[in-house]
Amino acid sequence: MSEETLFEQEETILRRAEEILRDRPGDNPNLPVEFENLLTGYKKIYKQLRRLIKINDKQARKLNEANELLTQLSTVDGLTGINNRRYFDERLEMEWRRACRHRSPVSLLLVDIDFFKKVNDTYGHQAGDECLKAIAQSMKSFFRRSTDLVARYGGEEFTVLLPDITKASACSLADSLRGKMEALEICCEGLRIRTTISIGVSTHIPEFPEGWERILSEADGALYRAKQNGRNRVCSL
Amino acid sequence: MDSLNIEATKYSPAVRFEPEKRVLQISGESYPENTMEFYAPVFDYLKEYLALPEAPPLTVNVDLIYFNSSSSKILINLFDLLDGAAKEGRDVAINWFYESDDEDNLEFGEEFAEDLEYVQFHLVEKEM
Repeated sequence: MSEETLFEQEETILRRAEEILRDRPGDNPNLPVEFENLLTGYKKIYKQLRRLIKINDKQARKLNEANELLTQLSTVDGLTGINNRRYFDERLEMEWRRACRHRSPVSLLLVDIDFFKKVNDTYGHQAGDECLKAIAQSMKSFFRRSTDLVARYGGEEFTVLLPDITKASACSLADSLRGKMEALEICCEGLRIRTTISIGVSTHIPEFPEGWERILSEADGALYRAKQNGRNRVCSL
Repeated sequence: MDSLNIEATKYSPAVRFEPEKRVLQISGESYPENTMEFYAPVFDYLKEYLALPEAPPLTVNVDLIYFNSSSSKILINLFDLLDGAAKEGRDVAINWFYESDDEDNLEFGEEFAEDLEYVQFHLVEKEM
């Protein structure tokens, strides 16, 4: 079937109208009848066209909604409801490039819950999940600028991206966060669970648009040192 | 007549016609690369079926989730063809299927139904 077949009725009406015009319309006594038929056909097709547009606008909207949902599902961590690692890496790369252009600092916190395995072993996995949720939400509400980004990086590890924040400010913010988490009481199935966190901080003023991974590995090194030095503390390299 | 059996792909629906059941079933999604080419055999088959001298009845089940613009044009043409057959006295029915939570798809069915005068058009809510 060719494209003409899809628009067979439309083509027929056009062809007929052209024939009538070519055959000197003035001499045609049936002209009003022919015209009436063409008009009827045209009206029907015009109505269908309006319907098609309406249906397809709605289809486009429907697809767009499905697309939005998929985007959300692919960028959000299912358990905690905050952004996931995939989204964080994308944003970090973007911020790194932006900071490089503006010669501005970008800070990164790598956060790990201390002795999280013990929480799971002592209170069960469900309590562990509740802790992850509570800490994620508490961290998210702690960072209020719209450019700050808190994400679950995996397991009991979280990351915070702080654009335009110097190393001193990042360390001070990290320590406030550490204090807040130390004071946080997580209620789950009648239990009151308290945990602490260790934080590694890294700040860069990027010189090249590439190599954003460096800030992550440095924060990781700083976090390792925080753990080595007794946990519940902030370290930077 | 032989049966018609087109398997579904990621972009095109499954199309099945079993003459003994007299049901044409179109189900899935409809974004064929060449919509006209995809549906040509369906139209050829239907025209042949509708021309059978014993004039058997026909039910067309449409169960599409997503369809592109040219597929909606195809649907309009298809329903037009069936409406014409019904006008000439053929026993033809169309069932438009939609999920109970898919209000859009219900409205698509209602839109298509508005142009039709002779054919029976039923909106059928699917069991979840």
